[in-house]
Order: sequence, then structure tokens, then C-alpha cells
Amino acid sequence: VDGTLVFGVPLAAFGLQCGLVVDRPFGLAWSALALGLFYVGLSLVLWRRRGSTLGLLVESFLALAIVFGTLTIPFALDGRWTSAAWALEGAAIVWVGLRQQRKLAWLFGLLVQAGAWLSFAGSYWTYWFFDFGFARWGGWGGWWGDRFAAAPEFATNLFASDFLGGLLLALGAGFSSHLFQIYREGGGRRVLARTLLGVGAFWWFVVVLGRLNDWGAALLDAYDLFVEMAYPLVHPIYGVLVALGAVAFTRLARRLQWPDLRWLAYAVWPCLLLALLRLWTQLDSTTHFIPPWPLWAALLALWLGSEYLLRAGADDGWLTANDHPRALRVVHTLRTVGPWLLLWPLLQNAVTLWLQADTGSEAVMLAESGWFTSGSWARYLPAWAMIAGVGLLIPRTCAGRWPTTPIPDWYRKVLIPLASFGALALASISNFTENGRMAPLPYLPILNPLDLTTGFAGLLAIAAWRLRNDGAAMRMPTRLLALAAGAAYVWFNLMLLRTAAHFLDIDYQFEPLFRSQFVQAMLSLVWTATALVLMRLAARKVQRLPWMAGAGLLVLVVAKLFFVDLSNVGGIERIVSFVGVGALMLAIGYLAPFPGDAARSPEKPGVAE
Amino acid sequence: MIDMLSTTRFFCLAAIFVAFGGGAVHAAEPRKSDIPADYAYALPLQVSGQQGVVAYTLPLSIYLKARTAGLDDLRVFDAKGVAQPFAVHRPSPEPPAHRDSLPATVFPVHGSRQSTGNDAIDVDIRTRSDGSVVSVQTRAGKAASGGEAALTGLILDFGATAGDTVAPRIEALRFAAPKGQSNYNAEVWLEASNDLKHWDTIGAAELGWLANEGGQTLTNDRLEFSAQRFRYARLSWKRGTPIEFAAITAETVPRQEREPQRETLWLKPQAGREAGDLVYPVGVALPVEQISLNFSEANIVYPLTLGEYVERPTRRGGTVTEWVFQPRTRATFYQITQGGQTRRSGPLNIGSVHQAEWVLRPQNPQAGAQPELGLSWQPATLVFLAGGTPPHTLSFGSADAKPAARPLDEVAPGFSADELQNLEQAKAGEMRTVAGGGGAADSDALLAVLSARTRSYILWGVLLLGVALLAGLAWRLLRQMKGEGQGSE
Repeated sequence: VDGTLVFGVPLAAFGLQCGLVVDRPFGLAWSALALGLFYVGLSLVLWRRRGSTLGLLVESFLALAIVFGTLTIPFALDGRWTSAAWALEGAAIVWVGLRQQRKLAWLFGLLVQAGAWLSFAGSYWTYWFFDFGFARWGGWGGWWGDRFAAAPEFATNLFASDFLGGLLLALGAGFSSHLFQIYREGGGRRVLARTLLGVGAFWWFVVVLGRLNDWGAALLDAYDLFVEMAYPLVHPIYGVLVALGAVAFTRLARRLQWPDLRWLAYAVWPCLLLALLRLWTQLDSTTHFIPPWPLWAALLALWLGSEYLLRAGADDGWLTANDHPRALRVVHTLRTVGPWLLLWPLLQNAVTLWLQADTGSEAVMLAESGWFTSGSWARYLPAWAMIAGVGLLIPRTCAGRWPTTPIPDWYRKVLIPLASFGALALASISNFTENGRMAPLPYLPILNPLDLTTGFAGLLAIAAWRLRNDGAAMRMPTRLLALAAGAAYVWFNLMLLRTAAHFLDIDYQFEPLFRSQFVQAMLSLVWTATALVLMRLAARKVQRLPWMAGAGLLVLVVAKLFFVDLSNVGGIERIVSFVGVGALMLAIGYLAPFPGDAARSPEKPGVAE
Repeated sequence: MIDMLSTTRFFCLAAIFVAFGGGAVHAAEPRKSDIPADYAYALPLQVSGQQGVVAYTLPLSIYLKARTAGLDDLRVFDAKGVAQPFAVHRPSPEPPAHRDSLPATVFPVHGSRQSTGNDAIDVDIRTRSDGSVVSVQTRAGKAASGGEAALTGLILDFGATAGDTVAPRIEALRFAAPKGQSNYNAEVWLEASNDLKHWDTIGAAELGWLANEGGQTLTNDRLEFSAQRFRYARLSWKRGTPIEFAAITAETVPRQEREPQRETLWLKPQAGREAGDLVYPVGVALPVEQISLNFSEANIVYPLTLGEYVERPTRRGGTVTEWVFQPRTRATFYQITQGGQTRRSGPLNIGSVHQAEWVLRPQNPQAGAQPELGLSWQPATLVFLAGGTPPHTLSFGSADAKPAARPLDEVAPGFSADELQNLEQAKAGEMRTVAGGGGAADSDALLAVLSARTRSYILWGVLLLGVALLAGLAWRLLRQMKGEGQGSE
């Protein structure tokens, strides 16, 4: 069978026919239908008569009949479908060419398809590549407003847009790629198959899904469910489609034994990343913003799509910890850490929204009578939730269960320690910058959210440290222990300062605290008392280092007494501090003598060195 | 294995956080019904049936029992409970029938045409000690009576009225036709001044007289502007030939505008929420415009602060809200007998104020006076369409009703002011109290404090949960470490 003759003649004839009937209403559609019926009849007759010898010709005629029959539909809908028709034709020619091992034929088919792409792109060149195509691929982003304004009629009627055209182009390219995948012989065909798949993916993600997103958004808008214009950063329908596509492509790839097709499914991960980023940006930039349900639906769909891929990859063995450890780590970080980070702005907004008065007049009335709400709740509660999230992950990491499998070590060694480090950093910053007010509740020392947050962060840090060093020596190194003790002591002092600042009604700032006689006296007494406790313990356990630390504290107190407390104008606080420190030092001298060499017990090797 | 974190507790915490998010979303309020049973009081209105639009002057009882400031809870229902359109109409005092007129003393200003043009007229004006103008000369030095120089403008002096120290309030100038000219047309600008030094442009107008052969004349002889006080005026020509008019008179606004008709309600004092305060409860609907005090003492000077009690959310335990005195105005009322005559403080104008109760806080509470408070208001007229099935009922008394009154021209369209003045007056029957009507709505302060309290209770709960969680986790961790320590030794 001569493919050029068989396929070229109807192609040329149809081109001429196009010129003849293009002005008539539905002329092209009728012509295509007639041609399709003609070829159906031809193949039927041939098959009946010479089916045994001319099987290929029958098949070719049947393919032509199908092509022209298919063409009838778009021609009936719209006049500018040449490119779609060519794409299908090209795919058919490639198929026949590959089956018959005729290089010229499938080259011609590819040429026809390339012509289809060019003609399709050319008709939309103006806004397509600049406003629309790359922008959408790059981030399904800000092109929205322009697009809506440019072609409003596309939005409401899916088939009035270039959706069908794009779909046919994508299917044609995908089918051709699959053909090259089946009839692969050399390395060159493999590259060709992948290129075709890339082109098909381009049409799929840009035109097909883009148009579906436009259409679905218009539908949601029409039913007052969701106005995408109001949330221009995330396109929920696109996200859901990509997630569904991930499942479909994975299954298709398994059934067709076509691993390259999975690349289309992998799109779920960049989409998940973008959706998380955009949602995070929007939550962070808009104070009272709680995303509406379509955005959650899209995020959930993308996340579930990612879960499906992870599970399918583990089951089918194309994404295992041994083969692709780095990719797995990246994906796991994205799908675990991303939603976890989203908790922060989301809960911040939710708590702020919940804490504020229902109406403006109510807020004014409450403010006038002294009801205040501390904004710090909106920072502490999200922090608690995030710490709780990590806490939930710890036992699962130990057991190597769901969210962490198959790479629990990545969680154990990196992610959880990082998260606990972040919690510690947050707690430290809050300790130095916030006054711990908890309005509308009255201030409670230690039991306020700031100190509780510090406690949670400390516990999490300990748990994370134990998790990281599970199986290793459980005892903390001395240096780390000393660091932790120092940090705890700093926290204790800050807590005292916050409490004093609250009950003395002074600002939690360095300057007013430093000038307060009460605060100075309190610090002197507390430090001396600490020194007493430290030195007493050191004397009993015969350890020099804590004793030296206590002595250092004492020196600091004495210096502070003479340089700071004395220079202040006298008051009862100064007397109390001097007398108190004196009495405590007396007690130290009596209770905690320097643990000398003679007293060192032999079974306790020195830690003072 | 380290299993230090209780999964269930964390799920509890997560559930609370989810509840936060859910709590932030408020459901839309359902639309409320509007039927006669919603209102606490019903007043049958009898109409003759001859007239479609009927008026009813609102009596004091309605003002005392209505529960919204703007009479928003007024409704006119027919026998079937169908709401009828109505308007609450407060007849404005009639404008004065005639205006006073004040002749102006005219001083022509002469000068050469070229030098004046659009520029300000550069003149030398001499005045007497009382301010009246003696003569006007241009700076060129030519005498005003010179005659060879052309007329460029006029200066008017309205200050001639004897005994008046304040300049009159003028709202228009009227010009008499120039002598000997039956056709004249010009555009003049008017500037006003009180000291002949600072001039403000206040108006401009086309003036014209057009006569036909039959001796009839079309005149356009008024220059109107927004009423204001000034003594001198300067007239300059933007177009047309300057001439001296036969006479120029100013139309002045009468000094005393007619006082609107007010009714006064006298109230006896009650003890206030704080010692020394006097409280006069009255409906919030009463639009009080003037306040007066009636003393039983012969001689008393009574400085006071007038205000009201405002409900505020409170942070004190035991009560939910507290009442705070909010001052509105300060005044001194007095009654002094001097030389056999009684001098009394007049009413105090306060605009139009709605207060459920008036609180009077004396500056010297030891005076112990118990004055009666007089509240004066202008009663409004209800104009309604007597449609539907008679008899009609006027329902009122609901704190959360939405306003239903329409503008007057939607109830009685095309009615002239005279017709509106002489509408049929409906006769009111016996006022009925509707059982269960006008349910008392919670005050805003109560609602605010309740929602704020709910929030703080939830915060307490979260805090307690946090404390319990922290304590539990710390205890568990300690136990684990101890156990491992023992295990390792």
C-alpha cells in the first residue's frame, strides 16, 4: 500500500473541497461526513471482497473514514479546525508509517503534525505565548485578569474555546509518542517519543487544562460558589485537574507499560509546591483571610495526588529509597513540611479573626471599657499547633510508619531536629521581645502562653535530641547540658522580669527595668540565692565547676550592688537587697565551703577540668 | 521506643484549633417577620373613609412608648395586618410672607474706562465716624461730581438704620429701572465688605428691562445670593453700560425667625444611679430640642451637667455590664427674685437629642433642689395611605425594628403644601398592649460582653489544656528518662 497515495489523495481533495464549500454553512462538515462515509463504504467493500490480501488497505481506508468522521464534529462546531484535523491526520499517517516500517510515511505524518501545531499556535500567537502559555505553565498565575477581559465568551462555553483543538493536538502528539514507544528500535526513536510527549504535555497542561479551568471557574462563579478573581493567586480547578491527571497518567503508564507517561503525573509536585507557596503568600499578606473551600479542595487533591504517586512508586518500584533517595527526600519535605508551614499563617489569621469583636461598634464599646485582646495569642496558638504536629510525628518516625516511610531517617536526622530548632528559635525570640501579656485573661507567671510555648519548645527539643540520638548514648554531653541549664536560667530570669514588669506596671524594656529599684533588688537576691543553691550542691557533690559558677554569680552580684544599686536613690528596696545579699552570703560561707582537693572523692572523676 | 506524646491529646488540641477556624465564620441572620404581633402597642385609627391620605399628629404617648430613636418601629397596618405606606412628616415653619426691605445709599464711582476694566475700582472713600460714607473719589483726583469722567461702579451703604450696631442680613438686592431708559441690559458683579477695605465677591446677575410698544415691560431686577451680613456693597459691570439706578433696595432676612410649635413635657426627678444624680426617664423616641428647669425654690443658681447613663461591658466579676455617666452638655439654670421681679433662665437649645433617660448631675449636689425637667419637642405628623381593609392600626414598640417610613412624596404624591396642611385627622381609639409583642432585645453591651466572655472562657480552656499537656509531657519524659537510666545501669 502506498501511504502517500492513499492518504495524500483525500488530503489534497479535501483541501480543494474546503476551498469550494468554505462559504456555505456547515459545508465542510457535510463534506467531511461524506468523505468519511465514502471511506467506510470503500473499506467495507474491499474487506468483503479482498479482505485477505488487501487487509492493510482496508485498515488505512478505515482510518481515513474515522479521521474524516471525527473531523465532521469540529467542522460542525467551528470553521477554524484545520490544525486539529491535521493533527489527527498526522497521527494516523505516523501510525501507518510505523506499522509498515516506512520512514517517509511517518516523517510525513510528523510534518503534518508540526504544521498543525504551528497553525494552532499561529492563530493564537498574539496573547498565547506571551500572556497565556508560558505564564500559565510558569505558575498558573497572573494572566487571569487579561485573559478574562480578552475573551469572555470562552469562559462560559467550553466548546466555543480552543479546548477541543488543544485536546486533539495533545491526543495526536501523545498517540504518536506512544507509537514511537511501541515501535522503538534505536535511541533516536526514544528521543523522538519523548519530544512528542513533551509537545503533547505542553498542549495538555496549557490549552486543555487551562480551558477547563477557565470554564470551571466561570461555572463556579455563575453558581456563586467561588470567585476566582478574588483569589488570583491559586486556581483550584487547575489543581484538581492536575491531581486527577496524576492518578490517570500513573495508571495509564502502568497499563500501557509506558514509563515516560509518568512524567505527566509528576506535574502534581510542582503544582503542589506552587499552590502551597501561593496560599502561604496570600495568607501571610492578607490579615483576615481564610481560604474558601475550593482552595482547600485543590490543595487536598494535589496532596492526595502526591500521596498516590508516592504509594504507586513504592508499589511499582519506580520510586524507592534505594534508587532515588534524593528525589524521595525532596518530595517528602514538600508534602510534609509544606502543609506544616501553612499552619502558621492560617492559624494566625483564624485566631485573629476569632479573637476580634463581631462588629466594629462592639469593638469600640469593649475597648472603651478596658477589654483588650492581646495579639500574642495569634502567635502562640499557631506555634503550639506546629509543635504538636512535630510531636505527633515523633512516635511515627520511631515506628517508621506512614508519613515518614520509607525514609524515616530523613525525618529523624534532619526534618524533626530542624523543626525543633525553629521552635526553640521562636521561643527565644519571643522571650526577649514579648511581654507575655495574655489579655483578655489576667497575667499569670509561668502559666502564660509565652512561658508555656517556651516549655513546649524545650520539651520538643529534648524529644528531638533523643530521637536523633536514638540507640546512641542517652546521656547528654556535659557541654550541651550546661548550655541547656544556662538557657533555662536565662528563661527563669526573663520570666521574673516579665512578672515584675507586669505587676509593677512598667514597660518590658531594658531601660525602665534597669532603672527600677525593685527589679535590681530582686535580681540581686535571686542571683545570690541561685549562687547559694549552686554552691551548696557543689559542696555536697564535691564538684568545682558549679561552685565556681556560683562564685562568679556572687562576684557579679557584688559588683552590681556597688555599681548599680548604690548609685540609685535610696529606698527600702536597696536596704532589703543589701541586707538580703549579706545574709545569703553568710549562709553560703557556712553551708558551701570550697570543695578542695582533699574532699574530692575518688569515685567521682573531676569534671572541673 | 519513645512514645512520649499522647496522640489523643494532640487531636483534642487540633480539634480546638479547627473550632477556632469554624467559629470565625458567622452565619447570616435570617430575615425577620413584620406583623402587628411584633409590636408591643397598637392604637386603632378611625378614618372617615372619604379620604385616601390621612394625617395623625403623633401624641406624647407614642413618643414615650416607641422604642427606637427615629420612630423606626412605627407601622400602620390594616385590619388584615397588611402594612400600609406612611410618612412621618414634621411640618416646617412657614417662610415669612414678606421680606423687609432696606434702601441703600448709593455713591457713584467715576473714572476713566480704560483704567478700570476688570480691575478693582481704585477709589478714595471718606467715611464719618459712624461708618457712613461721605464721598467717593477715584484715585485720579477727579471729583466724583465731575461729570466728564464716566461712571464705572456704585458703592452701596446699608448701615443707615438707626440703633443697629449689627449689619443687616441681606439675601437679595432689588434694582429700580434706570430713569429714562426702558430697555437696559447688563451683567453686574457684587462684592461685599464690612470695612470698605476687604471685599468679597458674593454674587453676580444679569439685570434687564425690556419694554415693548404697548408699554409692557419684562423685568429682571433681582440679584440673589446666599444670605449674609454686610454693610457695604460694591457693584461693578462686567457687561453693559454702568448707570445709576433709580433706587436700590436690599431684601433682608427678618431677624426673628418664627419659632416652631413645640410641646413641653414636665418630668419629676428620680434618684440616679450615683448619689446626687437626678434621673428623668422618658422614651428614647422623644426628639428633645429644648430643655428647661422649673424650680420650687425662690432663689437658686443651679450649674449642672446634663447627660445620660451608657451601658458598658465591665471586667468586674459578678456583673456583666455597668452604667457609666456620659456628659452631653453643661449649663447653668437659675431663678432669682430681684426687685420684686422673678428672673428665670430660658430654655436651653440642644438640637435634636434622643435619650431614654436624662441624667442631671448638679455641680453643687448639696443644694438639694429637685427641679422639674421640661423637655420640648416638635410633634411630628403621621401621614398614611388609608388603603387595605379598615380599620387601621398604628403599631409601635419594638426595639429592633427596621425603619419603614417612606418619604412624603411616596405616600401622598402630588399633594400641595396646603393640601398636606389640611388633611383629614384620624381619630385614635383606646391604646392596646399586645401580649408578647416587641420582645426586649439584648442590649449591644450585653451581647458584646457575652461574646467577649465566651472568647475568654475558651482561651482559659486552651490555656488549661496547654498547662495540662505540658505537665503531662514533662512528667512522661522524666519517667522515660529515669526508666532508661535505670535500664542502662
